[in-house]
Amino acid sequence: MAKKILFIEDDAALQRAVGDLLKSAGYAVMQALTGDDGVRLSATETPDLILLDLVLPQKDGFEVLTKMRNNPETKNTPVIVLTNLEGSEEVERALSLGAHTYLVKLHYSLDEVLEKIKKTLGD
Amino acid sequence: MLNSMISELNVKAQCDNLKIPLWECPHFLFVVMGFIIIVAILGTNLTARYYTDPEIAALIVIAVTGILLAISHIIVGAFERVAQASKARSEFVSIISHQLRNPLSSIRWQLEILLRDKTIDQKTRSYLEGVNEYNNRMAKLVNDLLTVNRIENNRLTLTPTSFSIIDLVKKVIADNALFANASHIAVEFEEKKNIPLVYADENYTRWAVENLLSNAIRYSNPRTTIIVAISKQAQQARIEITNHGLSVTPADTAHIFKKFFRGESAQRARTDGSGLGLFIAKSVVEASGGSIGFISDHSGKTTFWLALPRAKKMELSPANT
Repeated sequence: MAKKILFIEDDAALQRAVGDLLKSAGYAVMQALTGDDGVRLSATETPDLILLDLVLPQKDGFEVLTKMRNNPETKNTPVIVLTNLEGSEEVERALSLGAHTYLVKLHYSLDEVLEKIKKTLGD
Repeated sequence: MLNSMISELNVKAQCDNLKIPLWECPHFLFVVMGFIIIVAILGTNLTARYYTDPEIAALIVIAVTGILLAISHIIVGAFERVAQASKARSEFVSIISHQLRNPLSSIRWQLEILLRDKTIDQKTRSYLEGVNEYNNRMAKLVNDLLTVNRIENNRLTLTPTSFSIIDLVKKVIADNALFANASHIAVEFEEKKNIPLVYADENYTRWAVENLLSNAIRYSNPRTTIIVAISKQAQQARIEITNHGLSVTPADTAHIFKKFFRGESAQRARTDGSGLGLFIAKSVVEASGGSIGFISDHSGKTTFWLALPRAKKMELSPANT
């Protein structure tokens, strides 16, 4: 069965591009456009991996991460932060909240992102 | 030299350059304060000849002190306004740059998806590649502006690690192969033995080497060869990139690593530089404990070099083992 990836990102065009990429690589993709939807889907769908933007409506990425880490179901789910924020405060905060990897979107091609996802999932 | 001293003394020109009113300009207020001090000393001296009464002398001192305090207050206010303007500009650059990054990364990834499609015709592909190229150029400019902003605010965070400088240089050469081919430039790598690992921020080092190499390609004469060499020094590993093309003129030498500076000959040859690359390269290399420089002769042969500290342990790059 295909591994499930939840992508929490408020840019619909980016959702589509990354969603297409992940589907073509054989993953099942779930998408959330807000922080609240992200928290809800992470609890009900128990994804194998979560891609998380930090600037989100309703709940920001840090709040989403905190909620997920407090839920036993998603406590250990690997989270890759995909953002364009690059300040050392944001990086340190996300990693201390339990993000597995921190990627700045503009520094990575889609292939490189896919490589990181595969590596994290052990594929 | 003389010209620079004269321009230092031209207070009005300096205030005009800052684009602030004369009475808010620290240079001008400083001169006014100096003038008042001189007048006050002469005045006190003159008054003391006619009035020996200590109360009058005390009053004069109080009055002069009051005037000087008032002017100092105006000067401090002027400095505060300059500092606030600088802070506001820095925050503006930071916010705008972050806001620009989102659409740029979104465009980049969507173009990557489109370009994966093997069925698109050659003409469409060529247009999409053109858009991709310009988008990448804009992304680099936005990143450079953010990096400059961090350098100026002392907020550049470096993460030094031990890594193979040989592997890094090889990757940069490979990444620039298309650009070099399109410019009819050959790039040769002189690989030496016993090159130690270096200890620096790998991402920023890649950025600096990438910048020196792309500059070398950009300003080389067509059908020439760029030599990239790495050598071992007592405490450092040194990378040299030598090309044949535009020389750095003596007039440009003192300014080449300054922010937004572009040499006159460079501007004539290429219009697309931002003048940020060498400024950032110098800042990040020096922040890593390294050094950077160049040698350029009249024949057009120019070598830009950068030296980075060796890793503390006596490790060698994998290429040597």
